[in-house]
Amino acid sequence: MFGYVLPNEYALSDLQKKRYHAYYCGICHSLGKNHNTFCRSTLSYDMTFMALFLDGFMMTDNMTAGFERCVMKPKNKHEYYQGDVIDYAADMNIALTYHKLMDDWKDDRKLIRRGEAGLLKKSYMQIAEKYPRQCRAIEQGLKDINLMESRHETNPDLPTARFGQILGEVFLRNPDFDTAEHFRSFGDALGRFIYLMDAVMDLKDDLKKKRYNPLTAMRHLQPVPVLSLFLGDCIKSYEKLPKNLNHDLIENILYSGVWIAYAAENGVKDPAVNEEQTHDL
Amino acid sequence: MIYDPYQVLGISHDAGEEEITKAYRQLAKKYHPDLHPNDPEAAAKMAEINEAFDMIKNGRAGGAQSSYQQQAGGYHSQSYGYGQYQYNPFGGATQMDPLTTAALYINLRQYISALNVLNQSPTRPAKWYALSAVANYNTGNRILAMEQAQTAVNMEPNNPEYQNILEQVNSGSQFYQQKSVGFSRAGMIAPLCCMGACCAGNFLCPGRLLFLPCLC
Repeated sequence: MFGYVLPNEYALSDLQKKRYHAYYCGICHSLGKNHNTFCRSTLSYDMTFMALFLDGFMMTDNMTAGFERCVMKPKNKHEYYQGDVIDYAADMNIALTYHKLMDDWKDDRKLIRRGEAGLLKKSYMQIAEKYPRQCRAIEQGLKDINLMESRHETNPDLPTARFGQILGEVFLRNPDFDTAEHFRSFGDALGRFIYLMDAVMDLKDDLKKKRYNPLTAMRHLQPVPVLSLFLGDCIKSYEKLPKNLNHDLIENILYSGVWIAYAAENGVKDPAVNEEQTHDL
Repeated sequence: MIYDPYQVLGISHDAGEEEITKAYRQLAKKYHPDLHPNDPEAAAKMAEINEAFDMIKNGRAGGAQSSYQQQAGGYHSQSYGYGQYQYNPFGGATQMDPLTTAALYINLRQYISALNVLNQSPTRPAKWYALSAVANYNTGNRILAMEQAQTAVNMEPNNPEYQNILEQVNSGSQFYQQKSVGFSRAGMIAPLCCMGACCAGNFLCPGRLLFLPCLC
């Protein structure tokens, strides 16, 4: 489900790429340091985006940079960021993955999922104590979505909105700021985009294998306009927030990067502009 | 605003039969029209509660019949005597066709009542899809609205009214598409690795590390 909100690296300069990777590597580092090595596998592009998004507003001042060689990229030393926002993104990675795994285990009874969740459990318990609001939202939200899926909900707006609510809570790191509502609505819109993109990408396969997909009843749906709708909502909320230092990375991701997976799958040159192109799902 | 019947009744999605019935009764007692004569808001709320209860009871499209359904069927003739109270703002009028009724509800901005009526329509011509699109759009079901608007236009491509509705429900996506002009798009990309689309960006994917095609 996660892995659609990533940068278009072909359109980034070397410095910009380094900056993005410093966030990505920073989260990995935080996961390994504050939790354990297995927790590193929860690393996702989406939470990396959240880290650079939240950090760009400079609401906490304690970001520092480290320089290291790591197992995954042993060739050269590279820069990684450290700080509260990075740690928060790392924690949310674990929380989301933990509940997703528990969900998958309940669904498919794949024992390995339960095992993986178990390895995350100790860290998750600490995180749940630190961030009860977000963890409760994730747990209840995924449960509700699971129920909708098991009763074959045909209205795609319902699970989409429910997932949006989860991410809205996660993006709302600090509810005390007066811009809090915009963070929540940004996360909400992004969550809807992610859930819907996931459904769109899985549709062909799900139809073949007779698995549930919220878009099964949508015979005439053009995915690009409706995905654009939610991205548009993200942009509207983003524009209400103060200046962001990572504006360039954010624009690259929201206008370009998010379409990479879709375009690769559908061989479409310019999905957001080429409205005339219709695709039979 | 999302139309979620569980939210309307104030219960969680995994509420049991007893809890659902209890919630319905409590709300029905509160909003029953006999207690609020000449109050269209209370009546509209009552219609919404009825519909929510119906939706859960019937398990929506393709829902399985359960013992709950028989139980609930019995409830309606019970001592409370509330049963299904339908607020009809067009009182006294003889049977109108559902599409016309729905259109009137839409004009009154009673979108949920419109959806209720549309769900009972025996046929689904292009107009049904157009009206449903408008009603769904205004209750927050924007994906459904876009699909239905597109269906209406597909069925009657020369109808300017349906084209108008399609444009309106798509207006939010136009905003994004205008803003995104000039951004290099994914057409420039041909990553060999799935870039996380299938492995959720799990950096342990060997494909990503070795620049090989995704090995999932």
